[in-house]
Amino acid sequence: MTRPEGWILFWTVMCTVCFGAFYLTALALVPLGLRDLLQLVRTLRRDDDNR
Amino acid sequence: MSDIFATNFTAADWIIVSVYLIGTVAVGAVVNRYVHSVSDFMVGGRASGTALNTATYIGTGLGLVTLMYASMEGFNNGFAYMALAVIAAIVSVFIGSTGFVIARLRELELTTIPEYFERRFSRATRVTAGIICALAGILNMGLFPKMGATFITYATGIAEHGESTEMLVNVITSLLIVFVLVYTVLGGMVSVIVTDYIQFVVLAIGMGIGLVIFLTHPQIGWQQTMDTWSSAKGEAAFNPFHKDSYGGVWVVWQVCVFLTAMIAWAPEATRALTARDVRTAKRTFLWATPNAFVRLAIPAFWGIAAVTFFASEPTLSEYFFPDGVDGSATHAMQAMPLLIGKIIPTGLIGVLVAGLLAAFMSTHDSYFLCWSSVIVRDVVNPLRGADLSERGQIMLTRFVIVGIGAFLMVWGVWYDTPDSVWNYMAVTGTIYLSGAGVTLIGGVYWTRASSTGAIAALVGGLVAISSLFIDKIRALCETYVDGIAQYVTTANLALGNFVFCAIVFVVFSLLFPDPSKTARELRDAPITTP
Repeated sequence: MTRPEGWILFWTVMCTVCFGAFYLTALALVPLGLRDLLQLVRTLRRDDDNR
Repeated sequence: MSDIFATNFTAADWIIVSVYLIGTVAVGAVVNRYVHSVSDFMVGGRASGTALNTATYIGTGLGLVTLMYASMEGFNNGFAYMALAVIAAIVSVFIGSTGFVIARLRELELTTIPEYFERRFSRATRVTAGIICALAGILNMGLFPKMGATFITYATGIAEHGESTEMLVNVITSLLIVFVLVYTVLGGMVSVIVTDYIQFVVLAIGMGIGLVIFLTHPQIGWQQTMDTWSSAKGEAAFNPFHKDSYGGVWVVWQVCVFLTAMIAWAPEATRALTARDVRTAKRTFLWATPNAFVRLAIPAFWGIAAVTFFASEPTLSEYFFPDGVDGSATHAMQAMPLLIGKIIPTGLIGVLVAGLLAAFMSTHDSYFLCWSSVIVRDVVNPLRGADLSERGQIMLTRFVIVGIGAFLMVWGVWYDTPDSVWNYMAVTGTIYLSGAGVTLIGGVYWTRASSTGAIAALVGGLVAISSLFIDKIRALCETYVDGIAQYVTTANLALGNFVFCAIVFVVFSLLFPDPSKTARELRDAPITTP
């Protein structure tokens, strides 16, 4: 069968770009998400204390 | 035969998995003490920031069932299936950058999506949407435990031990459901947010480990995978529009499914409601774009890689490809878990399985909470004519969650799995999405949309149930109508259902206009997007 070089290049580029973008996003989301999480807990704890 | 099911999973891996699961349940129980209101329980007090909201959105979308069906499709259809990942990413960018529909939903400070239908249309529309939404959602969830059970069976090597396997797996799956029930019932959305964050971290690491190991394995690798698929299936393995692949109609149907799912499918769209404000809701979808691609593409690649690996092992090749690698594959559901079990080394496989079981749990908890919230707030409350007390709503939601769990144990564990799990998922989703998607878009952007049109479109969505019986319908066509049977496909029927709902919505809205001035005033109110 003919090797579909165009499609192979397309999927290689897509996977490289998107997998890379995902892990860059994850690197940012882990510390920032933890900060948000602690803030959420503080907010809920404050509401808890005010009851 | 049992030798081919042997894996690297050992007692040490079971300990890793157990410690992780117990720790997760403990966290859910601890945050329970901060839950006091319906808002706390169902939308986490609407206090989730962008990063946390995105992480939990990713955790919800990355279910084990997603990994299973995507790997099955990758195993059967190659890179062509990744077209779905591209569609998901494009839709995510579109919604995140424009705030399409979700900006309006967040601005209204809703707790559930069907609540919008009462604000914009009528109480009857909300109840109709709530019933169809919960029906479609719970049916959609029906295969989740079966997928989890299959994953555990083949990734951990339990299948090696013979005929009692099925019962053992069913017991383990039931225990997992009980675990998820406990921390969802105890903590509500606050515990879902906290545990989804932890699961996002574990999943990102686990999937990365799996990907790197497969890409560097001497029997797999990127180049070898491309060579194997090129020679076995040619262009059809890469081009979704190819006549031997999915085809154009399927691709258009998937665009409709993803566009409507992100704005109307409760577990996904709820992230717009849990966000701190409209801006955070939009950013959540934008930031989650790479994940929209990755959550389908990585497991699809695992399925694709399984073909490459099995093709190089004579015993496995004979089991999975009885007619040769260029023929039809069998046992697709077992492929990805078995590949993981055989390739990932002891210790690491424990972390990866813990991450994937986390995926199983994070999807379950969000789905439990969404469908139970819909039943209580969009069906029970409106039918009663008055809202239950805050305490009453939380109690009833917890009972409904347990009821859904009981249904899953019966349906999910004992129901026979269809050949294409993805088609089952997309069809059950279409039952609700075809009507609700059209109604939401029309409600937000079309002045003349009416309650009658909305109810007609929502009920019209039920026609999609026919797609679950496609073989019987095709057989009837072959018997009674010449030349039609070839056009009776799941994709044609499901896409036709979206078109049907849109037509019904427009026609009924024009024929039966809504006299309610309040609805128009509500729709015309300005959106204060930052």
